[in-house]
Amino acid sequence: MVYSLRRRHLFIWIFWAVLIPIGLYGAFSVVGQQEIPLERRELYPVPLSSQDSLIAETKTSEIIWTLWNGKDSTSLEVFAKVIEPLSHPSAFVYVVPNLEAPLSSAEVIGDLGPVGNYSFSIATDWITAQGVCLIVHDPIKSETFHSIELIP
Amino acid sequence: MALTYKSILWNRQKKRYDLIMWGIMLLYLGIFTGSQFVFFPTISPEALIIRSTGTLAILMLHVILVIGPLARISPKFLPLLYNRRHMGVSMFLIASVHAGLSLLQFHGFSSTSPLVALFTSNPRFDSISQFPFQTFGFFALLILFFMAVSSHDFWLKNLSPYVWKTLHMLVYLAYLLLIFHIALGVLQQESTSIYMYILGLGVFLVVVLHIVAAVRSPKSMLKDLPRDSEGFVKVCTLDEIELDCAKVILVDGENIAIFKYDGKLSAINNVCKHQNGPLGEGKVIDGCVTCPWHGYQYLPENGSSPPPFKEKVSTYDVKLLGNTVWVNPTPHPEGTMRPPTIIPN
Repeated sequence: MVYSLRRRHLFIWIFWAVLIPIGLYGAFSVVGQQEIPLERRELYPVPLSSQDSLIAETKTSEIIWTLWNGKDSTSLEVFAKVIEPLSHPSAFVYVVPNLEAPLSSAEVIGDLGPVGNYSFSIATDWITAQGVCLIVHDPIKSETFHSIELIP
Repeated sequence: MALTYKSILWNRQKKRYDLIMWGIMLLYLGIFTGSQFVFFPTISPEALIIRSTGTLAILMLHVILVIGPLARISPKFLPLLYNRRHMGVSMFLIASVHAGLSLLQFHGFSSTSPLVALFTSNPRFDSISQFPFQTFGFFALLILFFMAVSSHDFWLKNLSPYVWKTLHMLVYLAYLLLIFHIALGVLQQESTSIYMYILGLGVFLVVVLHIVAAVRSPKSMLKDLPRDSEGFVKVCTLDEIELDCAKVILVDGENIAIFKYDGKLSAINNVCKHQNGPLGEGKVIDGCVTCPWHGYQYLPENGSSPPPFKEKVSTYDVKLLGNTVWVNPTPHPEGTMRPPTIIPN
């Protein structure tokens, strides 16, 4: 390599040696500070037992939603049947106090994928006068594309 | 080196290298896929492909970037340098799968063009945690695309090694963009910090190796040497040049390699015509100075590649006074025959 190119290499990497750590520090310092409390956890289907009873049901263009009693008095089960491919492939389900509540008050309960059945468990504390309120949010596009009220 | 252009320059060694490289790549994809199914049994096939190709591409880019400095630090790594272009193109292909599928999954199937959606669906350019990190990946892939299509020797020859090398240094910008693509993208969604440390370690290795290799002059390079009345520069004693190797000096902006071979001394320009490789770090093999980077060869007495090849470098006058080697830094035109200085028995 000629001398000038080698010097250019050196200057670039000295600059990168300063810039990249600053950038990484900035990026890592905001992990977990997203406006939406996006938890990363893999959720496993919650099997519905025969003694479970249906509480509420509603339907959106892509998903049939049902709310069931849980196995004990402190939990409920949300069952989502995705009947059409979702318009937003990155789809996280959140439970919220009400549909007007800010996203910062939401709690992620799971994610949706291809057509199929998904079930999630939530605490009974989330039942309000409006029933159970859910939103489906795309964190990549920062867009909420379903808002659901499951009213008993 | 080859006399004519071929779509892919394969020889026995490169074929073997490519087979091993693709074998390791497939092994990685297999292990990654298996582990994902174990730890995340509900993962969808498209997410699996996006994750596996993304991690493989960034891993390969790190390997590609450390080959250059490692080869400068130790000649043991030169075989990797010789085959680096194939790895670069392979990495681009893997990154393209990652990018194409991501674009399709996250921005396809709607009335908006995926490329338009890529830049408009998340306008949070004012936020670090919400930054539309995919744009970094897009521009990095664009750079890698231009590098892959211009990696052929046809472009190297027609753009000139200096311009070509300068253009291909854009890979460093692509690397920067990809680091931020990862740090502001997938790592923002990780609850464990292990991936941050792995990425930080990778960056540390790449940056430190490049700086160490850049500040380190070739072992034998000499500067600020005394001159005689005829303009010859005193280089070293004869014993300081190993047989079939060179002593390199930098004087008046000329990078000169003085070779000792077959009882003779000759001096040629240190910069290979192919990719500006350091000829003085190569050896005399079969009577030809052989570039350590890609094996381009030159006759030491006239700086010309042996027929039918046409590459030529400048030659210089050498004299031997007693046991001391002197060289005149005024170059002769490329390919000029200069009788070698005979070393007396």
